[in-house]
Amino acid sequence: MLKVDSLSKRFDGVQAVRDASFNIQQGTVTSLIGPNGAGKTTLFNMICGYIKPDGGTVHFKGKDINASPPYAIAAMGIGRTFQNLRVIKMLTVLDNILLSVPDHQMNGILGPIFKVLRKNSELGCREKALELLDFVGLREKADDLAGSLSYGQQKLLSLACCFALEPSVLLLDEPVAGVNQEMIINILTLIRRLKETGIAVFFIEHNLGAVMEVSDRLIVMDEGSIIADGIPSVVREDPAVVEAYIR
Amino acid sequence: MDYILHILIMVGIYSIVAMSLNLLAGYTGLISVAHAAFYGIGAYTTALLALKVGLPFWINIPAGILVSGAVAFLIAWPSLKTYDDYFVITTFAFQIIIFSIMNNWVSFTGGPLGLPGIPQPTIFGITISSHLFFLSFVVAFGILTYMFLTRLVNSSFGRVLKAIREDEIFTMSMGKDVMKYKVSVFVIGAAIASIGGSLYAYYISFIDPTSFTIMESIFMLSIVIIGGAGSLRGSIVGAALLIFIPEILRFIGMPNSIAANMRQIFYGGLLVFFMMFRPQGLLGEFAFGKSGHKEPKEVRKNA
Amino acid sequence: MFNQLLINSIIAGSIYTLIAIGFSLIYSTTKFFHFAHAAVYTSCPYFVYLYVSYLGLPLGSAIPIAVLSSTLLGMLIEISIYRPLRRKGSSPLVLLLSSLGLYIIIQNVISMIFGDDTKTLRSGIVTEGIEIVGARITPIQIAIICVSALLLLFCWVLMKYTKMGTAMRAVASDPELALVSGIDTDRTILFAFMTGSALAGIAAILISFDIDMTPTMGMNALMMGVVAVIIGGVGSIPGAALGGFLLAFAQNFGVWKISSQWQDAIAFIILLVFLLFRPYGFFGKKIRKVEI
Repeated sequence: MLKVDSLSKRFDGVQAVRDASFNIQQGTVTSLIGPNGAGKTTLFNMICGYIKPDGGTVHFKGKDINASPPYAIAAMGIGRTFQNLRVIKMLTVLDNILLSVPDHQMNGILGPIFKVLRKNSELGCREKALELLDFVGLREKADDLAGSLSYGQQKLLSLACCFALEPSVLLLDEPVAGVNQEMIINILTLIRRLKETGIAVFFIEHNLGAVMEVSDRLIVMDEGSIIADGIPSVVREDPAVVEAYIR
Repeated sequence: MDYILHILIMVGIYSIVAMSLNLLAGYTGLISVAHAAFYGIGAYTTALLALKVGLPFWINIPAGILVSGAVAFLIAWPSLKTYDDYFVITTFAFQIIIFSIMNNWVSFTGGPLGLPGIPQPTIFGITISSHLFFLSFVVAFGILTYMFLTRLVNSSFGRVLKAIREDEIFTMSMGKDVMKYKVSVFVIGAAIASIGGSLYAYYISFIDPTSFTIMESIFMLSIVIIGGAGSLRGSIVGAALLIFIPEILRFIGMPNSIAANMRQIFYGGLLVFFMMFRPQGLLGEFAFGKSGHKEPKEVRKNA
Repeated sequence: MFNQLLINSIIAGSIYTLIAIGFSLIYSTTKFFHFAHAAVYTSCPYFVYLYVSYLGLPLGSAIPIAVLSSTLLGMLIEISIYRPLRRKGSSPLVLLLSSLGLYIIIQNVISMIFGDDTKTLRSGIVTEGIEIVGARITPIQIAIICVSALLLLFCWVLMKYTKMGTAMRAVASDPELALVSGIDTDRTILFAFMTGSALAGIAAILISFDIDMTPTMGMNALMMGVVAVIIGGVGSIPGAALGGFLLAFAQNFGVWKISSQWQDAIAFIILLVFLLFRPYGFFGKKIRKVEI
């Protein structure tokens, strides 16, 4: 469903990503691990359209999405979270989710004017948004400012936001970093439940315990290249992988 | 009494302009110093149509809005390719260029001599000649502007604006074409500012380029910032504060020769004060961000 | 005609270069637009005027004391306003806006004390100047070119070969790394303000001898400097010179064909072109950091 072919990127004289190729299928959980600076986040950024690759292609459901802007890729069905936890602290929890509501009136630059003149009801969307908050367990916090939530709760919110657009693939950048054990279990459970709904989850993590718990497949990167790709129990014994981590 | 009405009219006009700039700078985080240019385009369009063609205000003011909006649209796309402080510089450049056109295109705009003798607006045959009548005229537009903008910023559109202000990248990841939103507020902000300009032209009945300089833009921005970025009410309070107080100073006997300077020192000083101690201004919610949020150099946003 | 335009371009370019270098040093180390630089610029010739007219100092002493005064003014602004704001983690926008406020205050103080009328530091009659290669140039204009060339060389050596110059370049390219490497970033930044302000002050004095001075002269001069820096690339001394001269040539030869009233517009159109297509100029380095 998500097919990455020979993606490469060079930054400031360093080859950040070198010839990355793999296929992500529906209903699977794949994790991406590797030492710091291995190029994992850069890979994510290229898939989601935030960075232009130097070479290679990305196909999503058969369509070449290389030239698409990030917002279009998000709308197409690739959701993502960010390493440095982005949520809009000044908006309420509910409003953060409601950002996903498509703005039909934005079809023209002057669209918003007509939106103002016509009383626009978002009730249907509110209901759906509240259900999403239910799914992650944040419903009671719906009207609180996102900034007032704890770090772990904000992480849950960012998860809820990234599947507000009903994605088929989720790219999560370090979903369990910086939270306590209880929250880790919480988030891993959510990932399993998402997998059951047929969504493909692809996540970067440093927490190997979490990775082994929940992944069907493990991809390892080191210094820009993919050095292993397969079943977690097998990959983790791979000498190249072990060496990369010791180094 | 007439003097007080005059002050109130100016507060009214500047409130409208400040609210429109607030939409851009306070709600969306796009700090622009080109607003005096759009204010001026509204003034010149209305003045020319009233003076040379004799059209009534209910055609002239919308005409100003259209011209201003069109110019804003043209410069929005290139300007919005730059970010944060570079965006300010870009708007600075456009402000100077538009001012140069106002000042140098003598055959059209009258150049430095401006356009004198703008006729007063008439409603149903009655000329709005008294200050009181004109004040009601301005207040009517002010209320309309306030209501329109309040609806806008409280709608889902407004929600996206605030999100853009705080984190563009996240907003994109929620499927929003951020560029389109920015162009949209830029145009709407310019269009409403032009209403203020049109009212100004009618009120003073004579306009010249010196009312539409970069310093004027900075003054408008100061109102928005001091009143509060992200608060429409703040813009009204800010306008009142920055116009009333200097007038009071003049009243208590400050010599006229330095009154203009003191006025500027007053709002310049307030600007520095607020930036140091309360960047969100009196009633605002946006404090212009922390330095942690640099815009990525390689991000493709405008594919 | 051509030769006169050439000479004029070199004179203007020299001034722009001085302003550009000063601004570039400050911007590259602090990463925000120090608009108040325009006020520091303007203050210098007015200090001269103050010392000569009100304190009766001879011109020869007034000038260095004035340059010192403006330099101190620039440093004071950094210490009392920018540094505390930086400590608080304020964004470049906040610093830019406070800088605008400072400019407004200082410019108006100058207006209040000295009046808005045009003054000049030139004493005596306007000389026609001497003629070389078919163009006219006055002694002060020759001085402008020579002083600028010397200061340009001085700054280039400073940046490339001295410890402070290296520190400034380090802070410009990676402030965190510089700090970790043991560089006192605050002192380095202060040094940048010191040098930049001095350069601005000298440029303003030269202009005031050649042409005239008004309280609002700074804003326009600064913008020309900003254009030059954007053309040449932030943080590059040769770039500032390249930008300064390119701008001066474009303006002088440009107004040969179109009316001189469009001089400003030309500069700003060039600015826009560069901002949109080559924001890092010719020699600049990308200075914004990525964090997605």
